[in-house]
Amino acid sequence: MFELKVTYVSLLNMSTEPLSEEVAMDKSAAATALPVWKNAGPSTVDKPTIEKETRSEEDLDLPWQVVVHNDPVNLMSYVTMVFQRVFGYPREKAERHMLEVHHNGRSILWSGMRERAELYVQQLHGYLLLATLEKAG
Amino acid sequence: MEICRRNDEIEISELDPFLAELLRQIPASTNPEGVPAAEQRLFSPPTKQRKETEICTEWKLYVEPELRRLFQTATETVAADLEQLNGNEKIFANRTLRIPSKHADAWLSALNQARLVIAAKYNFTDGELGEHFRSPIGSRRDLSLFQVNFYGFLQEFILGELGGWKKGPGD
Repeated sequence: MFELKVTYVSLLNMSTEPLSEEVAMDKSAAATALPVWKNAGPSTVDKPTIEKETRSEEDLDLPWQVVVHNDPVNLMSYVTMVFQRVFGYPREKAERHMLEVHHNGRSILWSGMRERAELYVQQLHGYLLLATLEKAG
Repeated sequence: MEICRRNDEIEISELDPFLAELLRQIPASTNPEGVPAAEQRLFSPPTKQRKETEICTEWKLYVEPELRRLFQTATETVAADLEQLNGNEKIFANRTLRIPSKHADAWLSALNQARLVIAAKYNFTDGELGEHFRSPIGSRRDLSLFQVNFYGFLQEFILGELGGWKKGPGD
């Protein structure tokens, strides 16, 4: 059953690899994971009741962005390494984002489902980067 | 001071008493207690959007304790490595410190914590942080700036070596 509840992973077991695609569930995958009630057979089945709603529809519709902000203390090479580790970006892409942070004060590293965005921000904080979640739009 | 990679270790040799003391201060320097700006920097909020108070509350409750444990584990690893500097040699003798490659991440974290806490404590400007060779050291503030830069130099070296270790020697 698809449960819309935020889960936090232990940072002590934090992997240096990016999240696997299995963990990641984009909106289309989430939609297919939900039961399709209209094809469920004869109408003798009672309408399901939603016991608890933990996220509003608006939350589900809007993608969330993972934003990294400039920080004069963190070394540029360190920030590049963190982007490579957390997002699995190749060095060139990681450097582009690092330079965007350096010159523009911020860079959007990733956007998508809220749960995964939270995990990314959590990992970035584990590496002591200034990172935030922002609702797109 | 000499720094080089030897097999699966980083070796810092010819450490004079002053630099050895700066290294010994890494664990203590990571402590943000009593410096609200440092505390706020190490444990920054997950969002700047004011209406997302729920995220911030959950973060304080679930994520922050994990972050504290993560940072503390790294600091403890570094503190254990630094025990090498407390040998029986004469007080003014130069020392050697060996950092195992498997501790590299812990060192990167502890050095980063220390740099962030010191920078927040002294509220260094971007300009000051760019002055890598302020000389002479005439105040506690100057010394702390030197400390931030010295730790940054070590971070750079470890980062460089991390790439080498991943590829493996001889690659």
